Amino acid sequence: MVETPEDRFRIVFSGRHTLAFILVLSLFTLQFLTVYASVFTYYPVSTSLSPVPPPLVLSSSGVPDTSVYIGANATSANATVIASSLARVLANPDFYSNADYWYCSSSTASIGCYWLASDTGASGGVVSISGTVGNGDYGLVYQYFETPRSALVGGSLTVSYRVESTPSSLSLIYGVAGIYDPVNSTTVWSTTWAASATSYTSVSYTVDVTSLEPGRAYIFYTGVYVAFTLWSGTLDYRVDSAYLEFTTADRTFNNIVVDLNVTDAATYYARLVLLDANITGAPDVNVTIENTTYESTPIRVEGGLVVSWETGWVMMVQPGNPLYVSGHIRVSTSKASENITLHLGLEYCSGSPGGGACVTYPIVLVVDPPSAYGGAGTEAANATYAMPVSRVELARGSLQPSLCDGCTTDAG
Amino acid sequence: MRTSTIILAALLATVFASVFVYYPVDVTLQPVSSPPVVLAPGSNAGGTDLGGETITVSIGASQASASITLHPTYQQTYYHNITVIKNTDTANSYYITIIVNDAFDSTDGLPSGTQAYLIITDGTTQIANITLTGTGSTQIATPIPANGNWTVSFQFIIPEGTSLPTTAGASFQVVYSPTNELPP
Repeated sequence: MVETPEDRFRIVFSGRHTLAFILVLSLFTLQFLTVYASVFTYYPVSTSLSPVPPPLVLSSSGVPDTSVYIGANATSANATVIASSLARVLANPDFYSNADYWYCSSSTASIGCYWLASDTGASGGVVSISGTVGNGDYGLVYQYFETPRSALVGGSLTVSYRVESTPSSLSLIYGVAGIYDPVNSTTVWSTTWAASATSYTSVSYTVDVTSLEPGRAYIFYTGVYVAFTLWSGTLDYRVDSAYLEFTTADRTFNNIVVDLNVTDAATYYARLVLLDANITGAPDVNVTIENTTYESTPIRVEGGLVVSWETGWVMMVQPGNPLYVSGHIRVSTSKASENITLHLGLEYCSGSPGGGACVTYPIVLVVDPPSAYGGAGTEAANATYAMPVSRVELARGSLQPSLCDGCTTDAG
Repeated sequence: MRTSTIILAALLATVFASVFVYYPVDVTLQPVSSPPVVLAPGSNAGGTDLGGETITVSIGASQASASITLHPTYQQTYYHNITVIKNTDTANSYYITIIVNDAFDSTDGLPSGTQAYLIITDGTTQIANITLTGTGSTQIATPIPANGNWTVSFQFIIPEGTSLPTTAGASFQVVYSPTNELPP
């Protein structure tokens, strides 16, 4: 007998075959129902915030040719720098409210450098280089600076000083100033003058730039040298300001713009990130972040094109001396034209570079707009400032330039 | 008429008498000792927070709850990889839903304009960015795969020019399910 498809259907769906089929189908379906059932498991997570004051705060560097507006909690900044063919390269040249950026070096530990909040005839603060001196002793204040990144055409130095006291009336005291090359350990330019003025007096000199290279770090120093004294005694030599300027072939700016200060005892790691840029023309711009000893790799704009969008990481700690800051944001530019705006993020992290809690502050940097802001950070602009600290010692270094080669030691 | 009404009432009373029929149903619970999806500390848990504080992440004994304490400041503070959602199931994926029950808001003393986000990544790609300043449910479109790890990060933006509160709290639930549907 031939079994037709209809017969097979009838056999399958009849009697015990039907029961077996339904059972298998049910088990198959149940398996999937078990896996994909609407089961939800709830895990509670609580998040508690205990906000803290900003551990890193911003402030204006106050250097010439900058205008910096700081946000209400010192966690944002809007900075403008004026690029010109006249570059004033020293930071805090007038010691107006502190001795930031300056260090002290002397021939003997008995000579120190002290910041004074005021002095007769001075505008704002001054630095006193003082102590017990003998023949050949010296005391200097110095700071690192970078020459403009354009061919140097000329240079000038103006120092305002006075002598408060000398070991004797027969002492030969010289004011000294110069530029030292820390790489080659040579003095590339220096000058001296007989320091006799007892009230603040300005001396000006032309700086020979033939031995200076553009875009390089040097040390500027100024201070006092004791060529001759009949006996040891107390010397007190005071500097109100020191302005070192260079003229350049291109319009440039190269200086610190924003100061960074860590306010607690922790260590932070900071960098700058370029978020957006509006650039016209073909300028070169470098933006770096630096602590007291190290400058990061830069955010770089070359010929108007962004080449590098972030700096390297730099460690930031609370400065050991309240006269100093934890670090700076430095800007250097050449071939600047109008309307360069860089939107930066200052990012710092609590654990390691990129680790722990990472905070980002917005910083807007404008280079070379119309010169509506004028030179900021001058003593005149800060005329109402009053500093309660009266005498603070500067940090010591070990600068030993060749001093006063032409000074006479003949008391006559 | 009155008699017929009484008879009808009596019949109805009979229909709705208190009769109960009991069918036995057994419900057997077999708790899973090792939940397939667990919470774990992230790589920055226990790390240094701002102000010398510590990024505190406490995971429950069965890895089925977490408590987190953070110390942000003004502007944007980002906490990367604070906790991890781990799928320990070697065969099945699960759908994750985040339910914000209690949000960061003005009652916490946080300044107006404060933003808070919970950010989930699969290691390289961001797969969810959920605001913590409002309540609600967010189901993540793709399930966490078998043996998958998702990192949970936090971002806070507190505008400057305001005062900071001492503390502020929010709570949310991490919900997982084998099915692709919103939890009740």
